[in-house]
Amino acid sequence: MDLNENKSTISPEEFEKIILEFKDSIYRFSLRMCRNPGDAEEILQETFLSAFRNFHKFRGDASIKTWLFTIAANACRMKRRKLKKDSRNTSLWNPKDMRDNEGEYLKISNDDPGMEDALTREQLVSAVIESIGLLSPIYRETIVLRDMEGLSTRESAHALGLTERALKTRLARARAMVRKKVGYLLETQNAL
Amino acid sequence: MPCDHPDCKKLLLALSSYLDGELDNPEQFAILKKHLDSCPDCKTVEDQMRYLLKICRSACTEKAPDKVLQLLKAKIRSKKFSRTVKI
Repeated sequence: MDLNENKSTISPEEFEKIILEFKDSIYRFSLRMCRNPGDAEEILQETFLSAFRNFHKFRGDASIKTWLFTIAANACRMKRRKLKKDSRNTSLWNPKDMRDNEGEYLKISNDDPGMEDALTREQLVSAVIESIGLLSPIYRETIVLRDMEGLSTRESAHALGLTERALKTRLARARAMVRKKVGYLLETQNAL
Repeated sequence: MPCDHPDCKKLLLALSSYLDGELDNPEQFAILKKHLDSCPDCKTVEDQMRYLLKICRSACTEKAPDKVLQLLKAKIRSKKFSRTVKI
């Protein structure tokens, strides 16, 4: 099936193929934006049910993937508005997990150089994910779509309803903020 | 830390597009490239940024829970959703 074909009808069987292809990307995007697995599962369901229900509105001027991210991004924004005052909304990645008693990010010391590399990389990934999670949503959504889910500049801009220029500006700021937060960890990497 | 180049901040904003191969202005590209070649501090920023992007791309490992998938399939096949959607 050509997923970019402009179709006004779709059967449940055809739509299941779309779900299978994009479910993980949409789930991860929702998880990064909501920072809560339960909310991400809700967004995942809402996104695909809305897309199925409104498939006749898909005009084909963007890819199915971009269209799904547009729906998911809007659902995340609505969810955030609802949860704004909900103090129970907690982070999936607890910053305390990566810090010592004085609040400093942990630095691994291990006699086995191979193990040190592996642990440091794992910690680095956690630190990067945490830093992205701490960005304000307008910056977070750009870096998640562009750098984590691998959408092009055009696709990311389309999904978020931005011009490409605005997307690039936000992305540059988002990347700079994350680099600033984890830069000292990046400096410890021999891979640089 | 970025260096003391007067346009350093501006250059570093352009770095993002430079890394994506999307810096359209040839003059800006040349200035940035020349600066990165001669400034160790900004070169470090570039290296860190490249490594950061690698980390980002390798961090996507979560999968959608199977239970949600089953629920979704059941819903779109249910009476309410199963009719083919038409304009």
